[in-house]
Amino acid sequence: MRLWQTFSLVGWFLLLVALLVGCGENLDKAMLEPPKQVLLGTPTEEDDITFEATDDSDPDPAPPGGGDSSETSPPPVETSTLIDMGSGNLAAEGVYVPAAVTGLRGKMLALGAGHGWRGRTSSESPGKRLQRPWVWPGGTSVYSSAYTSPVNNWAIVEDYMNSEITHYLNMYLRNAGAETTFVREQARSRHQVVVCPGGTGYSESGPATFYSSSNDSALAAQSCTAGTKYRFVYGDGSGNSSFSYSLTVPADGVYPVYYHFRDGTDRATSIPVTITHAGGVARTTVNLAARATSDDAYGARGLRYRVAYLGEYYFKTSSPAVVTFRNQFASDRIAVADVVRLGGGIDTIPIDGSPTNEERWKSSAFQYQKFLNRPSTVARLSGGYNEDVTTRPHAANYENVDAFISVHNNATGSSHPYSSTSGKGSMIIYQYGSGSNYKPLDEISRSLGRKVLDRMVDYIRAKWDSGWTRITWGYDGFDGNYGETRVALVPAALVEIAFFTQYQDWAALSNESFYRIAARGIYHGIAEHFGVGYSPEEVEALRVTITGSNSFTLAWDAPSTGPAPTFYVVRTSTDGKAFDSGRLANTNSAMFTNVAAGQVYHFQVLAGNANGLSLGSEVVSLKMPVNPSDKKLLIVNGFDRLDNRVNFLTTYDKRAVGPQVERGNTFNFTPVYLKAVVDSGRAWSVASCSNEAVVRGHVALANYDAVIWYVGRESWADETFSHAEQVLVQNYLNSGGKFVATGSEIGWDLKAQTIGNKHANDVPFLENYLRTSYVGDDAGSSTLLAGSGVLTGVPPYSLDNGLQGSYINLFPDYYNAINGSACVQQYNVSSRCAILYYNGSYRLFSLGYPFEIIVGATNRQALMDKMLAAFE
Amino acid sequence: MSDKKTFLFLLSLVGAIVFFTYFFISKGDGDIPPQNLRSLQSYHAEFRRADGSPYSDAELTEILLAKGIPFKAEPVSLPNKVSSNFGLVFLTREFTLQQQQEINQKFNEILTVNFETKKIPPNSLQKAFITQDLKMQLFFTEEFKAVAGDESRLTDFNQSLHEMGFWGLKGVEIFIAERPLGEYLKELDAKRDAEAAASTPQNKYSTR
Repeated sequence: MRLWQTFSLVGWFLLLVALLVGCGENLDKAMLEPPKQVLLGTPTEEDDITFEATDDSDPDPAPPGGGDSSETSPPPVETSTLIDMGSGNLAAEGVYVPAAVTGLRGKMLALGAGHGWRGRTSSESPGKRLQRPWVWPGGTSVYSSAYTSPVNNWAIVEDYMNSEITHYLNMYLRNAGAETTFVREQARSRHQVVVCPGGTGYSESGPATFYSSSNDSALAAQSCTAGTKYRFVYGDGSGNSSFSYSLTVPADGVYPVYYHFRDGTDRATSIPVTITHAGGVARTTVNLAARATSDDAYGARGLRYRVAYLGEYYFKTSSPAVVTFRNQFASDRIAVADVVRLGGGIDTIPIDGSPTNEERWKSSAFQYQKFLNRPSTVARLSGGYNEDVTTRPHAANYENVDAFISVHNNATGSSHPYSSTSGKGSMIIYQYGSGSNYKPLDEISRSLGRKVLDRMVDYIRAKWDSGWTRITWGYDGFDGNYGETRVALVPAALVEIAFFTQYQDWAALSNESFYRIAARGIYHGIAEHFGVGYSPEEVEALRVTITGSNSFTLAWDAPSTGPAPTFYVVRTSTDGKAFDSGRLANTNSAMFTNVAAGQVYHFQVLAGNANGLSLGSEVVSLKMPVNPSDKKLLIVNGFDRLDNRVNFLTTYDKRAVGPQVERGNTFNFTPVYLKAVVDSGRAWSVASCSNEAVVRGHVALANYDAVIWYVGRESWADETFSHAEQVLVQNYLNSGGKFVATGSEIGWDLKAQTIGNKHANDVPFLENYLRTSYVGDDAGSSTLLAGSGVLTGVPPYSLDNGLQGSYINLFPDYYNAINGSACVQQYNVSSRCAILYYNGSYRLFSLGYPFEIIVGATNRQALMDKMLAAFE
Repeated sequence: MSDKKTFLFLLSLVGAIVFFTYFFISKGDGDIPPQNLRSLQSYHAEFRRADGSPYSDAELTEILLAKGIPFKAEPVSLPNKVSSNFGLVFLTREFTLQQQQEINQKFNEILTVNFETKKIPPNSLQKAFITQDLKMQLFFTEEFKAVAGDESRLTDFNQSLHEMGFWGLKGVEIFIAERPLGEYLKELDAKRDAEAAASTPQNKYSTR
């Protein structure tokens, strides 16, 4: 054979291989994704919408100042290319599920996070206790579940951890259109506000007659007075009458909204509801009809105690939450006016005569089902004095759900933690009876269980550890008779995600990223069980940039992995905390025109397809220029680390003094920077973006007079400044830029750590460009002295101890001046510099801690004011 | 080149391409590099108190976690007490003698803990098998009814066996006095359901 023939043959084979690989990829995609479809209708005339696609492939357009001078006076009405949805089912966090999402719509899933505070068994001493031992990471201690002192910092507590993983699972499922119900309280907030029928905050209006029922309210004798009766009203087809609940929260924050009611076959299935919150008004409908036959083993003849989730919103103490139901439904149906509850609250149901006084989400299913007033056929203590294993499936049966998923983690049965022979990995349990113990339902549970385990392990291997273990126990099914699956009358599976007594699994379970990965994997399995595809992953490289004196563009990249999105949902806020329920975009950008001077906005974006919505993106923020002469500031969010150790305090209990438990990165710190700029009163416009948007060339640093680049507590794993980022920053500085670098590990990552992600340019970048000489990893202080030099006038201040609204100050770097820089603010420790300033061919501040954890808006304003002044 | 040689050459080429393609594709399946974790102990030199003294293992662990540094914790070499010496009967040839010994060792570790913590009554286990479909069959005396009647103890015992899945076993079937556990529990559940229903008041009003 001649050489050319050989090459030709190889070429043909390679082409063939390439085609095969290409076909394979397309086949994979075809299996995962629905056909592309047009989802968005043409805007109606009533909508103040200019509908135009934008091309986001161009780099960042020139900021205002030079362009759009033809506008003499801005038109009065702001427009955008986003499409209002008006109303919709509510996904997690109060986001509308667009009508195009069919995924898990119509399915109801019961989620069972295992365990929680319980009472003693007959052989134990009195008092509350956890159901599972908890493990301290030193590897030397396994504490008994009866150990009731505050749980040690860094500990793995299965009773809590299962709920935290379920929190993410709930988000994925709701964003896919499913309804979810919980066997334990899910709202991780200690505050609770309740309005009962006829009580303070309750009102009725309109011509319809409202009746008082003979039946007790859903929360009678719990949050409402014993004997409280619910009320009801017939529909009139047009909604001329309504009943409302007005609630004032005790502290600003995010609260879920629950509607507690008694169901029945005479209830309306689509009752219009509006929820007025700090971010706007959400409009949805609620179905109060019974899901099960009225006469069965649970004995309730309809009138079951149910809870409808109405979204999760930011509420402020300064303006009440208002939830309003209208009687716009058929006249032979009724709406029951019962109880609205905000927040999770404290468990006050006595155990051994004393309330636990723990947040309700930490309590057991038995305690929660008792709170819901469910009968003893549901809230069961079987055998042991306070064992509630069977309460969980009975709660799922009670609501006649389409599937019940229990989330658990394993502990070894024999050996000490970290034993080299400890079990590890994931497994599944479902009931598969033998002989007379077999029932057809077992086949459905087998299908569900196997898919949940397979897809979860697939996803963990793809995103966390390619060698993740899947153990064989349970996969083929066996007549195990576990209480949690045996008595289920609905398809049920119990997933044991990992062994928290095995060191590698334990490390995974110490990381919130892993929770999210495991939860998404479980969601994949559930979706596959119901024969639907997956929702997209999160959008990337989000950026909002000013394009003219009265216009700006919000843009993002489609997720680089997972199913392709076919539309997006954009959420908007004016304060960075309270967001609306979202508007639709059918391209990966949105243009806003006729925007008022000085206007501030914050945005979050979700990707969607017919299967569901992704989780929300990080938040970007914008302030429009007031005058053409305004300086231009860019805020870059480089804080990508998702890890609950970012804000893991000494006990689980401390954080709960706030309305919402947040231990990880909230991806919502850019608004903190923007507020400081606004509060400073300085004439700067603000654009912002993720660091990926800069690296990918979507946003050019050179277009800005100054750049603030924050990396929070990002460390070596996510890289504070990658080499690509270093080059971009160096180029910017070489051209005379003004730059702020802030984060607690920048010096340590670039200079000291020897773990990985090292580059030869790290130290030159740190010392020659950031003009920073790294001295130590932990300044040993959370207070700073008053500023000096250009920061003269900045008062002393503290950094967050984890309870002040951001996250805990840990390992703040301390620096020495180098290459012309000077120390302008010190920690309250002799000779430990916190902030360096350089004023030469460019200007720069280098902070050894994250700016966003400065306690007090006035302190942040003071520092920002001085930094911007130094840049002017 | 003869036809035979051409055929062999082509066969080799195809083989090489198939191998290359397989290698290429399978490399793409896992985009996570193998973890080469450093031990916890190795970080003691890197992280020290301001006065130069070392942190304890627990303190060091907290530091590594806070900074997001993965590490490999050393297995604790505490000897497991094994007081039970129960012999599993293997009805399968799936396992080598060495593996059978290891499985027996692990099973007896688990039993010992269950006996010592009184999760299951000592001497209540009569015989135990590993079946051809790699499940455990445990035959208990009537004494085990006390465990079966207590969901807490039954759940704990079941969970204690989960790590046997790491050895390739697929589940457990329990018998009490030669009777499947499920049959016993079915009767018990019916009794519990009736008791619970009796204490659940029936609604006497309409659903309005």
